[in-house]
Amino acid sequence: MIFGSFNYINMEQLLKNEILKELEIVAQLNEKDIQDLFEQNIEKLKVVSSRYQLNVELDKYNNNGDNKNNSQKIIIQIINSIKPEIKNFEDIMILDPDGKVVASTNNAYLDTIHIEDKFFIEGKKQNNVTILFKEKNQELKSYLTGPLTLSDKFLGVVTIIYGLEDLLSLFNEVEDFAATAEIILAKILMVMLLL
Amino acid sequence: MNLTVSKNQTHTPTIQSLLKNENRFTESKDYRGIPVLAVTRYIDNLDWGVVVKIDKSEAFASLENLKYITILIGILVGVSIIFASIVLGNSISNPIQKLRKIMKDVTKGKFDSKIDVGGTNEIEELAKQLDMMRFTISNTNTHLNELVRERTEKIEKSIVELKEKEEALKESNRQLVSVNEKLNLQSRIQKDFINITAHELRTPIVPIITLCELLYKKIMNENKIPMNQSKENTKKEEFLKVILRNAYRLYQLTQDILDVTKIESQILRLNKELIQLNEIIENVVNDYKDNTNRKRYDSNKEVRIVYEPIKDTIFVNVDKARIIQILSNLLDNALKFTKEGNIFISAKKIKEEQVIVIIKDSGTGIDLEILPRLFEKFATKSEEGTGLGLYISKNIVEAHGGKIWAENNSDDRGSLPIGKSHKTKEYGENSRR
Repeated sequence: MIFGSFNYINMEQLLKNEILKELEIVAQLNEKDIQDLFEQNIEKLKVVSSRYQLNVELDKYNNNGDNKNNSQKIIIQIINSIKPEIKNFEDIMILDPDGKVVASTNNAYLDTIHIEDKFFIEGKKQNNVTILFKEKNQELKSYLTGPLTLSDKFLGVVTIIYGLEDLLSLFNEVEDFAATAEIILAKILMVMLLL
Repeated sequence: MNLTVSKNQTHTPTIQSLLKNENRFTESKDYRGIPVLAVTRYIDNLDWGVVVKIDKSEAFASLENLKYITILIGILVGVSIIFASIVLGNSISNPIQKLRKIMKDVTKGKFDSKIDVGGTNEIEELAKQLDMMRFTISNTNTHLNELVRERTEKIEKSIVELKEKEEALKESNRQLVSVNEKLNLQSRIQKDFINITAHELRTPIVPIITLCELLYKKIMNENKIPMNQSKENTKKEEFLKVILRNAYRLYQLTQDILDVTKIESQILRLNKELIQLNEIIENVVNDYKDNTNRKRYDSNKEVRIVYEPIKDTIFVNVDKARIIQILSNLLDNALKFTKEGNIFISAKKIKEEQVIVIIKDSGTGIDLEILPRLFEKFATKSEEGTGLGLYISKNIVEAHGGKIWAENNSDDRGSLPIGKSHKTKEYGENSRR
């Protein structure tokens, strides 16, 4: 019995170490994958924000009171053409410096004002791909948001509503590891992704 | 899916990851409150925490099997140990139990079972020793049984012999009883015969004595006249004297025989009355000073009876006639063996309820041969006496609760002290010869 108990404790310790090692490996891999994914999202955001024609038309829109409609149409055509190119881009919004949506791949967003929304405030500062939000159906989405500039002139903010399928796909492999294995992404605002 | 975790749940790996604590968690519970193994990482540029966790129950599921196997093995080992203990215990205790059973049989006297129980060396050695002891006891028991059987046979034989002897003894007893009955019958017939004879003899003697005394007095008176003195009358006087003496003897004999018969038949009755002992003694002594009484014996003897009465009056509760009979017997006895000199008689109180009467003579003393049986029947040295007087006197004294004895003085002269104790008075007599 003593030998059995000793053996059990020893085995438990060994197994615990092994499992923790594997969990560390999974955690490290996921950390790296998440960082890679977000770097990719930055690049995807830059694909939109770096469109010169888009920025020119937005500048015209902001300055030209008479041809705003024309500039708006061009901007909408540009973002509509970009959307299919990038997987998981659900909607693209172009906001003027006052936070008003001047163009969008979804007409429902047009003319809505988001001057106090986080994605607008953060987007004015720099490219940010970490803002998450819930849709009405409680589905979690991400905002890829960043400033639009032309010759260092701030023109507005581009915000892309991004599906998190890529992120979720990163954690599917953990199911092979164990039935009760979970990967949790936690944000300081206490919004937690449970994958 | 999304959840919100309270910032108060700082122990959870989720909060720890947001606190930039990259670590292993082995004793934590997750947001569900279930124990988990967890590893945390913090992505600095995103300000996100990553937690990878697994439920402990699943992580250690294989160990659960091991645990069950360990427990099962433990149980099996335990059962095995118990079984082995039982087997080992039985291997030790079974021989001891067998030994115990056999020793019980031995205790009950069954020595047939050979002790061969096996077991360990020590038990086997013990069994051998016990078997030797059983064998020794069995032999001893057999020997003892044989001895007991022999003794029993002897005892039974002895019992048979004893029974035969007992039967013979009973038969002898029956014969003895029969003979005894015959003897008793004969004795009773003899006593009756003697009693009747004594009675029948005494009846004619009284008138013989009376008439002889009258005749003797007449001849004595005639012989006092000188003209009547003749050789014939002198012879008549002598003949009458002989007749009187023998008549007195015969009378005394018949009286003694009747008294002895009463004593031996235990029908001696005392008619007690309170009397003065001094007066009785004085009367008896005076009777003996009378010449008539002196004529019973040799009138030529120069013997004087001396009685010195004491000042104090002694009252005794006695049968007056029997006391007179005793005193007369003793004085007769003293006179018989005293040729000359004095016979002293005295009485005195020695204690409040004891009186002693001493009769002391100046005779030759009591023959040492007869002294031990002086108060038995027919014990006499006298040719004249019957040897019944002292026997009768002794029984009368003892019937009064007194004691009579005889002894020689230092000068070999005898004395007969008589003592009697009574509640009120005592008396005693003494005779000397």
